[in-house]
Amino acid sequence: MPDAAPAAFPAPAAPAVVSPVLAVRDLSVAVGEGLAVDGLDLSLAAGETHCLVGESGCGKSLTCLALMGLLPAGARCRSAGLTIDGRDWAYRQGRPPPGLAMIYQDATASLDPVMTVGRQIAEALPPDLPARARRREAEALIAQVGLSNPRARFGAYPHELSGGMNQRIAIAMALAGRPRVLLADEPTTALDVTVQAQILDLLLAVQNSTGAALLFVTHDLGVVAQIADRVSVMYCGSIVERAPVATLFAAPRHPYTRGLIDSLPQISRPAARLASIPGRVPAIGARPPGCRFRPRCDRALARCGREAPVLDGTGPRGAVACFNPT
Amino acid sequence: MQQQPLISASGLVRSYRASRAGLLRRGPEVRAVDGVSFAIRAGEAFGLVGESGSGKTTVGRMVSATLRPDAGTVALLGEPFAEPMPLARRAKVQAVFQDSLGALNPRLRIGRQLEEPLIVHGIGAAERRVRIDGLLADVGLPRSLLLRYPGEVSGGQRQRVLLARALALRPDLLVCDEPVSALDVSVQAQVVNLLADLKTRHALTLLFISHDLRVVRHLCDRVAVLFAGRIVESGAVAEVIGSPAHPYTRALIRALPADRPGPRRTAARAIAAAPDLATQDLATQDLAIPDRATPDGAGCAFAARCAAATPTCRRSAPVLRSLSAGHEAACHLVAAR
Repeated sequence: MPDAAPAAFPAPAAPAVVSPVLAVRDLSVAVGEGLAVDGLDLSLAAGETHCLVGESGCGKSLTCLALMGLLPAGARCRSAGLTIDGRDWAYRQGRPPPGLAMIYQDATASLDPVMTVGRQIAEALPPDLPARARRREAEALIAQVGLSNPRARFGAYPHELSGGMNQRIAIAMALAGRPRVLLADEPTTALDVTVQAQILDLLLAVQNSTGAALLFVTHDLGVVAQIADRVSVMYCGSIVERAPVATLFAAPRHPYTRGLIDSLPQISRPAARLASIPGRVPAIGARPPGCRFRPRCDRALARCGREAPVLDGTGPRGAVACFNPT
Repeated sequence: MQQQPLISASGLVRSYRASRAGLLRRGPEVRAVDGVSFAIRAGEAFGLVGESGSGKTTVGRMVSATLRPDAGTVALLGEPFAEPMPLARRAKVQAVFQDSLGALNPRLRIGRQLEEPLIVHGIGAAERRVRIDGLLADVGLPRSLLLRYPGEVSGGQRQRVLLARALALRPDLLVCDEPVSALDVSVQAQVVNLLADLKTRHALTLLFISHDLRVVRHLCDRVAVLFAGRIVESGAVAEVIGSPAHPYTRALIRALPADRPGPRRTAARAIAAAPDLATQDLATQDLAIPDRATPDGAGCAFAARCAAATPTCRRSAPVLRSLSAGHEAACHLVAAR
């Protein structure tokens, strides 16, 4: 594998995160005896789209929920150094940090079924706003997320709208708090492909106009290729590779990243067989010693069974946690 | 002379009554499937692609004899499905659906559930054991799984169990409705490869129903695109995806996420590239659900979403017309080109 990225994917300079709008240091989430999220570091620049990728059970969703202070029962935040816009924030269960807002996979389920969508948006607006301005703002947000006739939409209930429309409402709610960072957990996975394309466009447009950073959790590398600036690949609770998107696709270094990219069916290049990663993500209690990816890895060394590699960001091609990267 | 198709559907129609009109008022009748015809040759993988509400699952259920069509017939080797269907014939067509947890009994061990179809079809105990060993090998599952319950194994393994159960009776046709949609991409690749292997090894014929054109491109030989209960385009996969004729097929392909990173697509660019989607009035209908409240067949169902629609499109419904050998599309504008 050549060191330089092939010319087909000219790599833009990695956006240096000078003063990150979100900095996460050593985030750990315990589930039972094990760590579902294990010492995760992450920083996002304003306006950056950062994709968090991995299979189910890698800890992607728990990472988002921990950042929001909304961990489910049974999961505990062990440590979290969180800085938002230069201000430190201590983890508090049930208290989302100011400046963060989240969009979920199933928008229809995340909305209150017995409250009009307009009121739900209005409730998410800053509390000091007078009632009339509140309604006006909510209608403006409904228009901003691309729904026509905002005045009529204000009084609609979630069940009267489609999944795609409810995801737009959820985005409007998230925007109501004027977030600096938007967390989106698989927001298009449940949607049809044409609706997915529209929601992705909407998220990027919203990000353009507000300058918010976007942390986008997905398992679909096609979506990553389309929207990401930088990508963090997560496996068994840890980041195993982090790179600008063009670099990651042109020259993946971690065997897991390569497996994920190769197993994605491509519309433009059908292959007789899809590459796949053997085995599956181990349960938290059944993780192997050493590198957690070793049992599924075709490049494992003897050392990989003894020691766990750490994310090394000193090289020129992004950061990788692997003793034998490509 | 042309080989007789293994399975052929002709003029399938199925309506449902919409329930959303109110508690006591009956909703309008919705034609979920409105005149669908296709034929699948033995050994072929045929993809049926469409979005939610396009009628693809209803077609799959009619072809697998789990739902009776209002009109039209499904024929296996030229012989129409009869009712009641003889057991031996029913065994020839098996189906696998997306929800692997819902398709298995949570309180029965997996081994027992694999055995059940064999018992129903009167196969002796010794033969059953041999067959189940063969099935496990076919789908790549360990014997130890037989003693487990469905809730104890992963989604990918459950999907393999369903495949094994469907294959137990050595069917000629396997109907797969979104069998990999709920799986992670690496597991999805394993199951797609497995289906491709089974197709070669057992000369299995596949009706593969999916919303994911990328998977269909890999697995299928031919594809039909379904919109509002009708086939709008069909043909060899490479041709339909390589040079799509119908504006809806083109929109579906444009909406696919990128294979590889390219220039950052801004919202404006994407909308310019897909005017038929962007100009849709969201006030009337969500994009994915075409308006089928008027089943009188007047006009093209896609006209409301189509940037190129003409008065003709709103007046009369286009029929499938041949563009080249095996490639058909139902669009007035394509025919005129």
